[in-house]
Amino acid sequence: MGLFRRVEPAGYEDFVASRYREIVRLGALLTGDGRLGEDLAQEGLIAAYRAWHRLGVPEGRPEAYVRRVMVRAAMRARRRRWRGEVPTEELPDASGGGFTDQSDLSVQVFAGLRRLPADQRVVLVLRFWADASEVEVAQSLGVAVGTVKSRTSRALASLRAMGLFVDSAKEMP
Amino acid sequence: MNPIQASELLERAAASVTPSELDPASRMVGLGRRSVRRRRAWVAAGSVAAAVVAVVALPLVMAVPGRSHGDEASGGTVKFGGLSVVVPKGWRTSKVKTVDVCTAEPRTVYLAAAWADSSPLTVAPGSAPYICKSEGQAWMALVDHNWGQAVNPERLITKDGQLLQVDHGIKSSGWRYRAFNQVQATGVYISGDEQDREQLLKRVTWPAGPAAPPGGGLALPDRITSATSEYRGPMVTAMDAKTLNEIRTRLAELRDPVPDGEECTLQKPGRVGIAIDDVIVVLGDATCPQAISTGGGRVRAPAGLGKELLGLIVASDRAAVERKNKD
Repeated sequence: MGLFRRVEPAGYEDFVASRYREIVRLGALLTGDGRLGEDLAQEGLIAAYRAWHRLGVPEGRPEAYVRRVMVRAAMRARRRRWRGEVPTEELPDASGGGFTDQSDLSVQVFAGLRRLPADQRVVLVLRFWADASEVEVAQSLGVAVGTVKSRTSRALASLRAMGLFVDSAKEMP
Repeated sequence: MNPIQASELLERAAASVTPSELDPASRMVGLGRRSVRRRRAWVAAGSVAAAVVAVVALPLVMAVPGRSHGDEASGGTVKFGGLSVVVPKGWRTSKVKTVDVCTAEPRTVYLAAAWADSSPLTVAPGSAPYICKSEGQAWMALVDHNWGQAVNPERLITKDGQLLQVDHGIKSSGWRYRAFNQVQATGVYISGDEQDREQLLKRVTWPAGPAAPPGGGLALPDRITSATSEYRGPMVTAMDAKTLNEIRTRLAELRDPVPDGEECTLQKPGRVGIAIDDVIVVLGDATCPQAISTGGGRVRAPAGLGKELLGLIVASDRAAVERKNKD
């Protein structure tokens, strides 16, 4: 009998089963790689497991906690030069047109994300995928709002230079 | 060409990612357990950590047996994973790898290997909560890899002689059911209003659960090596002989069987679940002063017994940690 399977903190398995795919997707964007994204997601979920006694309550907000752990891990990876372990596909020549012309747009986006420094990539994902405000991003990363603005601007500029025709109403001058 | 919004670009990329884990809940529970074990070993290396290792090893060996369950439709009845469902008139059946409880179609019986929820992980600050298109719709899903057996289920009901673990699903209109006496059991997710759910639940036939022990009382292991429960979230375990003997003695004294038709619902917040080696015993409070064992048997029980036994386990768990910290 699977004894331990039955004594898991109430709600944890449900949380993982229902949210795993979205959490892995966040991880993929934060790392620029699907496989590493799943590793990152698991790191966040393991942390949530350990903290479930305070997360598995109505006001516990486990998703926010997992996201915070993942963002920190993604930033630490930058310092560990984790980025160097990520395979780097050659980007196609941007002169012939944007990636939006290609059917494998997602492949190109991930390739573009991998080329960004981790701090720019994290800011980009939090701002434009997680819909966090500049102030929220600044608070979660412990940096100034101005830093968030500049990282965002540089990240978008880099993606444009790679041939991704990126525009954003959120981008500040 | 018009520029693509950054958010759209990221959304498209994210949507292309498919996790490799088919059963992430089991995987994460295993990794989480190992993580806790390492941490405990670091803080209080020794017997407590070793005990956890010993218990963890058990499911690795014994949770393996697979189930074969081809699905088949015969007339208006679908069979899947040991369950049969009489499909309502005008409904359809759909066999899928993963049923998404956020996008499930109404009037559908899904036969699924796994389940997921695709609603967004986050919503913009100040915006309205995301509402899934399946919310409030009537549909149901039979799910192989599901939400698992809990030691402290939200609610335990009896249907077709089977003890069912019932809890509220992720969505407000969804409820989930599974046999409580099996580690591996097909789960049933039912969505709809209360009347829909009641009607749909009646259409599911469950295999009968274990009979009561021939000698009466609750089915218990002859010898107990551990008793595990939850106390305010974290797991607590008793492994000392004195505590285990007392728990077994107190449970073995319960001999007054509950006649058919007099079963009440064991439910939160008063019920106490205790995993005792290979069975789980759940004891109710004053709202349902009964006790059941997943090995068989339902008996009347003093209303305070569950809390009393939980107190013994908590005390034993704390004493073990304190001993190690002194060493």
